[in-house]
Amino acid sequence: MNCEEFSKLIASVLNGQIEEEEIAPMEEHREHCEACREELLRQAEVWSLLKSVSKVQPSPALHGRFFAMLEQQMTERGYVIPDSEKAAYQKLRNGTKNDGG
Amino acid sequence: MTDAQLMARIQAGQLHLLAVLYKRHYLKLFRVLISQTRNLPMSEDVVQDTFLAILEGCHTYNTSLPFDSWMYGIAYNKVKEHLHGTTQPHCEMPELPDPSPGPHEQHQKAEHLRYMARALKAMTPKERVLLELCKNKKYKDIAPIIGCDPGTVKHRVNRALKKLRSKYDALQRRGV
Repeated sequence: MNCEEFSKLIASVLNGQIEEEEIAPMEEHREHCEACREELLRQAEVWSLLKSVSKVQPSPALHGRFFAMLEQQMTERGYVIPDSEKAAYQKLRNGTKNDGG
Repeated sequence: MTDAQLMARIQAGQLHLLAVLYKRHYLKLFRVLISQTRNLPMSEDVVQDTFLAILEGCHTYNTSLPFDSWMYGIAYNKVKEHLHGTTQPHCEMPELPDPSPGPHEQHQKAEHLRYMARALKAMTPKERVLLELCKNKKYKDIAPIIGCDPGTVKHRVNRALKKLRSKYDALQRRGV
């Protein structure tokens, strides 16, 4: 494996999608190439930040809108939740209100 | 119960079970959308539109395929509709909050995250959505969502990550 081939696989290493047969050649190259070791470390840092950065939450109103839409659809289609499932549905409806993800 | 089993029951008319699928998937879907659009109201609208489309189109779902890939495919098209038809001004996603006073490491971490948020802003919507999707989805499951083969997804993800790093490094060097 050369540096270019190594470089093309870095994202796959970081997101855990490296193929089994690619691991040994990568390891071998990494051991012998300082530049690629550095490159992998830098990309790993960026990957770690990328995973931390997008923790934006939707507004609480989203759940209300979803359940209003679903209940409107059920009404329009004349669908009634079976009695045996009403409690579970209600629990889900109330639970989702405070769900921060 | 698996997603596919839930969809089979929804197809059979048990509409209320959509709430279970919503609960399981809304947050990941929202985060993919916000990474793509950087627009909070639009992302929430697309979540809503996507679940309505799932209900209305439930009979078109093939239960042998992963539910979330199908869902992301619907959402991807909904975003296109929104971006194409929208006249509303672009609503910026809020920047990360200022680092709170505290230990040096905490301050540094917040600085790094701010550079990362800005670097992401400089990427294209397609690149952002790819980077978001590849956090927890296999290339082969992303491929049908964006309409290309897994090898191309792999190539594009790698290229996007390198570009992101380059933007991040540039921002960090400039200290802005």
